[in-house]
Amino acid sequence: MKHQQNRKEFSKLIEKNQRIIHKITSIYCNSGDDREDLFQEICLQLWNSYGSFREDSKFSTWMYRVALNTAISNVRKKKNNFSFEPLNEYTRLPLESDDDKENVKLLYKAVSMLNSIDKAIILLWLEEKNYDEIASIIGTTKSNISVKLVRIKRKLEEIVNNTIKQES
Amino acid sequence: MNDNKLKDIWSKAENFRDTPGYESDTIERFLTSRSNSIAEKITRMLQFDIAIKLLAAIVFTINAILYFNIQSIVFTTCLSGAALIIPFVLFELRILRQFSGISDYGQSTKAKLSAMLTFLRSRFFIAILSISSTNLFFFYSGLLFYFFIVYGHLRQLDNMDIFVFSILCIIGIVMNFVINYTQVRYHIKHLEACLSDLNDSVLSVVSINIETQQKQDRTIKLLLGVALILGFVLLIAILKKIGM
Repeated sequence: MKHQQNRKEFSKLIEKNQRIIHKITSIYCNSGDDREDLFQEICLQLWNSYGSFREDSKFSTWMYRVALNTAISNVRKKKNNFSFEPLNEYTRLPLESDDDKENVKLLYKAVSMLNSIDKAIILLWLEEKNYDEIASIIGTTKSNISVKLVRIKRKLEEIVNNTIKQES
Repeated sequence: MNDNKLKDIWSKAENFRDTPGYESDTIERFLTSRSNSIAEKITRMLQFDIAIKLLAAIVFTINAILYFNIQSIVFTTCLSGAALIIPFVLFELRILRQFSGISDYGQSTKAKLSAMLTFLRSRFFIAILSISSTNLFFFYSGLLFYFFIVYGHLRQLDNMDIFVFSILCIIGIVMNFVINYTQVRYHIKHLEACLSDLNDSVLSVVSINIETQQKQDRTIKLLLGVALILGFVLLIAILKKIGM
């Protein structure tokens, strides 16, 4: 009974913070089905690892750690075809311009070409996490993160430029 | 593309994500679903094997009772078989306990990947060796039980019978080993690639840990190998003796 009560409370906590999981699934999976599978797997691993969560650290940091570890360990046969599935009418929100859509599409395409670790690092950086937090989640040093970020951003820029060249 | 521009695009990306926005009831259902992670697959594999080994031990014990007044050599062999299964089960239970700590997702990415790789490249090899041995025990106990039900005793076997039984048993062990090993080989490669992407020096540190672990496990590997060969030789010897 108590276990069921805990599960209910935990589900509500995840519901409030599900934005984090959606961001992770959107960069690690291409299709909607894969994203749903990974979302489910992350929820399950968060619940299984809840015992290891210590109140002294932020819930969101712990959530990023478990979710990213699940996404990185989730081995699937690589699909080369990148697809950015359009939203349906009900979920689409007004955007400033079509350029925004193109930029977002380009960024996602570039991020999808990175390896699993680089994806995790750039996601944490884009989510405004500081170097200390990124280093603690990934388990490496601050200086290593700083060096890696420079390389990842350069790589992203190269991919974006190449894509623009190919399309024009 | 500067940092601010990248972050600006990322913040706008939220509007484009096709996110269903799950309600807590749906999330609660996810929490009780079956995991597809490699950790969960390994845990299920070990749990299933322990159950099968215990079943083989029970069949051996039943065989010992059935053959008690009929063929004393089979009675002794059945008791030895049941006893031989116990250390294998204890070993797998220990592996299962160790693995539940490794499979915790709350660690840092480096710690999680390193622990998984060390386990898969060292301990898991012995674990699948132990898992493969189930074929021998299950085949042997099942064979004795079958003979008792059909003939009321272990009937005389010619060389061809012994050859066919041995081949079937060996094929079972090898197939089991290969299937389990293939399942994790792809995952090992993925973990190695991730660790190498993380930092060039991490992989070498993990390799040293694996080497140390493998040295420590050498005795267990040897004992498991000897137990497996001994069990097999014993099976052939008994079948041959009965056949004479």
